[in-house]
Amino acid sequence: MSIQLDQLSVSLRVMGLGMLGIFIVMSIVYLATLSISKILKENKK
Amino acid sequence: MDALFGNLLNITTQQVIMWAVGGILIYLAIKREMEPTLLLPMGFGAILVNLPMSGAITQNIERIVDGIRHVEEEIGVLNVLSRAGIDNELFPLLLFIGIGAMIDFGPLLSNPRMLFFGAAAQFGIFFTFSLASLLGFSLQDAASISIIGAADGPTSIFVANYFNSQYLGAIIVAAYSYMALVPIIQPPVIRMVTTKAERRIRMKYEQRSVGKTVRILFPILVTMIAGLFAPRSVALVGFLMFGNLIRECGVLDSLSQTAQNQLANLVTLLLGITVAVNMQAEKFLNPQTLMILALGLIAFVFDTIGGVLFAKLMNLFLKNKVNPMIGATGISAFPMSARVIHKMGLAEDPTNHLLMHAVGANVSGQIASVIAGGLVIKLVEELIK
Repeated sequence: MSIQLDQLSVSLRVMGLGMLGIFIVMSIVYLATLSISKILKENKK
Repeated sequence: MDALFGNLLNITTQQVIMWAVGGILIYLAIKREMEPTLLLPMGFGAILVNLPMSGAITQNIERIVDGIRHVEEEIGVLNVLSRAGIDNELFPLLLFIGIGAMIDFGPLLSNPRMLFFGAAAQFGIFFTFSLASLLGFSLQDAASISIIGAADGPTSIFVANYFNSQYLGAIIVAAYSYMALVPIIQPPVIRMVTTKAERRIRMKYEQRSVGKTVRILFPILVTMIAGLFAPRSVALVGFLMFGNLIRECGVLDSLSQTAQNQLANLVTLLLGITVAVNMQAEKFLNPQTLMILALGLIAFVFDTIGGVLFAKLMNLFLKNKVNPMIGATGISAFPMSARVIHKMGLAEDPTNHLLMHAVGANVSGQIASVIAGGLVIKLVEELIK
């Protein structure tokens, strides 16, 4: 029973950290993409 | 007579069942046109490896030399190919160069917020990971099984192989079968979690041109950012983005064409039949295979639910609402999922064209699924230390 609880605890941590991690990475990619587009547009002007 | 018919006595019931499984995969590939590039070689390979004493796989052969019994190992060609391309993850990575060269990130770059739908639609991976480990699979096997939800063959093979999962055969069959079944899996799930009014939400598409410099910088940026957070994903993301960079740079057209056609076709040819090494009856036919098939379906279902619910959450804060069905296209099954949602949108309102938004989210899912694979590897490794 305690092994299952340990395993559940680890798997829930992976779930939480995993989703957080993906959103953080995609947010950085999003901001980087927007910044580059903005910089290139301003350079064109 | 024994020399002629002796091997017939070696046929087992399990092998006959695997012949039927191979036959079903071949039928689905040819008659139903479900992922034929992989299901057909896998189906045929399943038959090859399940013939008794098959020379296609490694066998221990008894020989009598000078009256002494020797047991010699005869290496099968499929094991040679498996060592050359599956055990070291080479084949899926080479295939990713081809896939990267085929992807146009334009619809995503003209509407970068679609990146978040790709992230949300990976929820099924992590949900299934928790479920699989609760059902008694080890953390490494749970991670390998959950990655079916990435809806991406090479990523599934990469992660399952990384963790040396004994269920590689079942995982690959599940991954490719469910990718082909997206038009059947997603619509009822979407209807379950959305209302008719939500499915009819119109989204305006503003054609925005995306500069060549942005298209070139994007794959480099994604590789560096993903690599810093999930170093184990560098090979996967890197090869995918390398393929895309070859396409977008504009000076390597012949390499881009080679990657999209000859390389992708050649690797797919070898990958499909080599994966069958893991479809030997004694490895494949066990209760865990059925559980894996069920868990794979759950992963796809919760990917869809995760994407749709995220879109509904975003709508609480957005002035211009997002059609929640777009969230479902954040899975990596490209372009199938985008086409399914576009069709569903037209069915609700024949003037509501969601295709370009759906394609943007769908290609975002390709990136997110690979990052998810890298994160799963990193997190499981860290947490079991």
